[in-house]
Amino acid sequence: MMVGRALRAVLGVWLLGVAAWGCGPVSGPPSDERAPVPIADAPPTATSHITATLFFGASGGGGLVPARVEVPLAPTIAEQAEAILRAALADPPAGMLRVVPRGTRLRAFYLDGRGGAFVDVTSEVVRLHPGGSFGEALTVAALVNAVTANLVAVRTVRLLVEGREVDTLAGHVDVSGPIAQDMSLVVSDKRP
Amino acid sequence: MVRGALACAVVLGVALAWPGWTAGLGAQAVPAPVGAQTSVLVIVDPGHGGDDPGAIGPGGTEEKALTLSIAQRLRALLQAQPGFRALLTREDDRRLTADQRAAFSNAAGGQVFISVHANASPSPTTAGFEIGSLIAVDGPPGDTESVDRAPLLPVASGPPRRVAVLRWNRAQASHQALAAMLAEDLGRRFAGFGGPGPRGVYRAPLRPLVAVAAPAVLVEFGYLSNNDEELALATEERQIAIAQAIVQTLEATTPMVVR
Repeated sequence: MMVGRALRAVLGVWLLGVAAWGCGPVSGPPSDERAPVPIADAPPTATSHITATLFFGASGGGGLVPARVEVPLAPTIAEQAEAILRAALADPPAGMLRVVPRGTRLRAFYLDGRGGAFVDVTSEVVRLHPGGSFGEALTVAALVNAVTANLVAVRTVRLLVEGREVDTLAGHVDVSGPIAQDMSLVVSDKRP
Repeated sequence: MVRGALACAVVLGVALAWPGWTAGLGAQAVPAPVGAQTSVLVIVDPGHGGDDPGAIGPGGTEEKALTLSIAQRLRALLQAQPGFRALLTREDDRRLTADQRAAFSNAAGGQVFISVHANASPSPTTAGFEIGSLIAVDGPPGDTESVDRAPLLPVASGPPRRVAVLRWNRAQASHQALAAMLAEDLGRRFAGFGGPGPRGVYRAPLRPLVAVAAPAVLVEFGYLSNNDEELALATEERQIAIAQAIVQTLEATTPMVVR
């Protein structure tokens, strides 16, 4: 009886291990970023989700605050990034502020195979930007951090607008080159 | 952009080899640098302009108009000050690119560059001044030379001449430390205007400063998105006080900042 229970326990632990390996960490480094990298052996079901960390404006106005948001699990790194970015462009959770202009949509996401990514968004991010170097810095960091904080394979992000390189989104922050993750603007929401 | 930057570098190189050919390089005709000047030339850059209004306050105040007004007051104060001259990158409501602003400053021989802006935040409660200087994200670590002095370039007449060619995207690199010092000094002087904003004195990859070949700072004297600050910034009293604070800082720090 005891032996049978122990065997069942060992088998259960082994099955859990296999399941965890099969799902795999979404942010694990791919062996070859040039090709779409499957992150699960089996196609995700409609109920599969990951919890992503996104960044929205602090209600007190002092910077960005992280928010844990459920986004659909996707079969490749690129598709996972698209799902994360769509969530980052959606309305923020209650009590947080939008830092990317409303109406901005994701056009495309590319990996360059060397740890860099391209995030291509629609022109609303420029046309409807309310300006200010602080507001612009929040926009850039929210987009870049959404990718780099959830996909460790991506170290830098190039921002494109309607498929083209731009110098800035609102006249201040240089986005003409690769941008690394910037957590310096992330604050506690209690801070004014 | 790389092609444009290279063209600007070569043009400036030729301009330096042939003084007097600088008019028309920038947003408006500027006098060519003249020999030894005892006064310090400050380039004041009113942010935004034309079809780019910059931030707009809840009461409708446009950043581009506010920056031009404060820049004009700053120029008037500097011109009245012994030891200073001042030029504006734009005199009216027109749009200029960051490279046009930098080209104007570099061609005129600007020794200090003050880009004047107002800020905005998604939260209407964000308030305070912020002073930014450049932290370059381009180029290999330790590469801080702004000027390549080696090239021998052809000139329009006569034999080739050795010229100083400005490396456009690295122009601010060798001035970053002095610019950061100027930003700190401005921050101390601005402390009387309601305290610093979320970043206070900060360093960031600020595009308007990248190609400026002199210590350059971006001064944001308040948040237009904040109703109280918009009202205050629109007053003549506050605008003069801001201009005076900048002049007092330049008086105190210019001997250390200007080479």
